[in-house]
Amino acid sequence: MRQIGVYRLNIGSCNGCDIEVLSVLATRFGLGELRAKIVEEPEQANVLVVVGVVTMKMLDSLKEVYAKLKEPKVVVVAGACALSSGIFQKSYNVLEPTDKFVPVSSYVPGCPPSPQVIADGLARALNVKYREWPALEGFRGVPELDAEKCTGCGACEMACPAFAIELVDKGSKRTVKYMYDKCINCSSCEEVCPDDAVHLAKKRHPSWTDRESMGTSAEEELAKCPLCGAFRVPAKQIRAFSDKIIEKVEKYKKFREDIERAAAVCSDCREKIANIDSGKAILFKLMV
Amino acid sequence: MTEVIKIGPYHPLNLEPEIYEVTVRNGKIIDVGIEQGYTHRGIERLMESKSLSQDVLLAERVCGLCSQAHSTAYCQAVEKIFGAEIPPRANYIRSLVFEMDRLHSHYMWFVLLFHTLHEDKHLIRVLNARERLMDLLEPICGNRVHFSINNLGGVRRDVSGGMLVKVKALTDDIRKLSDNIMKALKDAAPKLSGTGLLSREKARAYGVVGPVLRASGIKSDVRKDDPYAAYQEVDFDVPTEDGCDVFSRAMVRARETFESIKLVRQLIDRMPEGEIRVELGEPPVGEDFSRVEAPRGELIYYARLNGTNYPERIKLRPPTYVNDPAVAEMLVGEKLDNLPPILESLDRCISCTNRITVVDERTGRSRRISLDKLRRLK
Repeated sequence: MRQIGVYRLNIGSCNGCDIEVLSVLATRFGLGELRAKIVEEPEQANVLVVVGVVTMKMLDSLKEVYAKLKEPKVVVVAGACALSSGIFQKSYNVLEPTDKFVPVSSYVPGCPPSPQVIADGLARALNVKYREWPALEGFRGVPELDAEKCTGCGACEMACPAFAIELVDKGSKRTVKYMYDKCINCSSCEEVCPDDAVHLAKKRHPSWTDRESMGTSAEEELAKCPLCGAFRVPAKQIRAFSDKIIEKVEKYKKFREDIERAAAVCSDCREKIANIDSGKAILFKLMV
Repeated sequence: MTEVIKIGPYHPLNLEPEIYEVTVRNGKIIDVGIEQGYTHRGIERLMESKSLSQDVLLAERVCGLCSQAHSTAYCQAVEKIFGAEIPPRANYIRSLVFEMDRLHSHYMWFVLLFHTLHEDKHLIRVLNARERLMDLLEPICGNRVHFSINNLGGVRRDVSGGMLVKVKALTDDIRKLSDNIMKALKDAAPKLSGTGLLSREKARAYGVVGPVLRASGIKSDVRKDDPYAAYQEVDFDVPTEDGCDVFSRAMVRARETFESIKLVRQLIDRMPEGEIRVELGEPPVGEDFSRVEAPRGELIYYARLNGTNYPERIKLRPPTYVNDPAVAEMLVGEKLDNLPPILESLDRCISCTNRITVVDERTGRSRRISLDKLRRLK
């Protein structure tokens, strides 16, 4: 049967994905089963595996190589960098993710993705079946969110180095969004979560064909600020916060309502209360 | 006839895709020009915008093969400013992962070398054997390449006793692989000997580091000269070769894998019990630097903190940055056929160079040829 040429292009990667793409050649990953073969020239290939962030200097090369591929052209992007620029987002020399410049058939998440998942991504792009590989004990997969336990506090958003977690407030609802295309599987979110709501999956996540659906989310109800009426702080977080205070100092139990009320005050109002400058102005007026 | 051969910018296995402009007269290389900056990701600037602990993760993503070296150097530089004492067990775990990183990096280099030499049988054999090492790195660190095991103040994960037994058991098999590589290298010696010469004096003048320096007969290794982590408490040799050529560089790396195996065993045997992490406290004001011996040579990190959670300046000096200019010295006067192994000998992963532009000096017109055609072009 005819073999399908696979060409690998580094457009600004740390080399981690490159060596994992090369590791796919190891016999046990069965590249032959997929009828795929790694080639040295883009002209011999139908499949282009892109790794790395799109840097300013490599953009032209990416377009050039894509134009040289044989028809039908298939593009597989591997690794958080190629998918979404990963940890290098917001750098001055890094452009938009790969799929803004060339059409992409399958997305392989991970930083770097294991050879098993890269082979799976190739299979998905070629519409071939590929076997499943269990992860070894201790593997860091994508973070899974326990919506029951999550209070929407946002500690994970602050800790994430790759901007893979987003808090979106709309009306009285807060959505905690985990985006697997940006995730670098570093487990920072798992470490900082005060409510034990985030755990890294112990399995290799398969590749995807659509970037929008890569992720998970939880919805939280927001409480009204008692001073201005804005929806800012999640109700669950207020409860968890008060519980922790009362757990530590039992005699505060009778002040529970006051604590919850104080915790519900939004950051804007708190700033106003603590605004020393305006207080100074009032004092100054009184003195005059 | 004089021709200018432009290699690059895309070669999928290069750390930093770059262009080598090689001027050739009558089949001999007379000049080499280097153009860098194709994978410039603005990391030093980016580090200033992330918190100190997030930068550990960014530092290790500078390079996929020296992942542990970068994060260790960064952590040590910052910990020095904090004045923190790292628990001994954390230092041992750091060193253990460091040596396993060096092993898989060196084996990867042999894969690339055999690719250049068209020894596909050896290539697949090394690649398959290397997978067993990767299968141990995955449960220890959670990932095969970016380990994310270092953290400011220690390490994130402990290594279980059962895992250590498994790693130790593997070292015997890995030693066999290294023996096989030595044999394969001896067979390939005629192709590699006497090419890409970099004399002792020139090596010193260019300031090259790592295996390239040691292959020119100079004994220099940060692990010995300025011990860090747990390297003070273990015994190992620093292999050097006097050939100054591509073969010597391969031999230095092959002999280093034996030393790393020795180190892995000692680190496991002597690993102390205890804490794996200390709290660092408030960020101080100050500056310091740290250096480690990455698989490719000396790696330096400089850090300046201003009392906030964000560093004011991080500067890094990776080993390839100083090794790269020496390629001009190695290539000039060589035959064009020897170009791929010489570039490879720097551990620059150039072997899979895909695109080559030949510029005719008289007409100024350029054409692109493949690596195979380059071999036929004399």
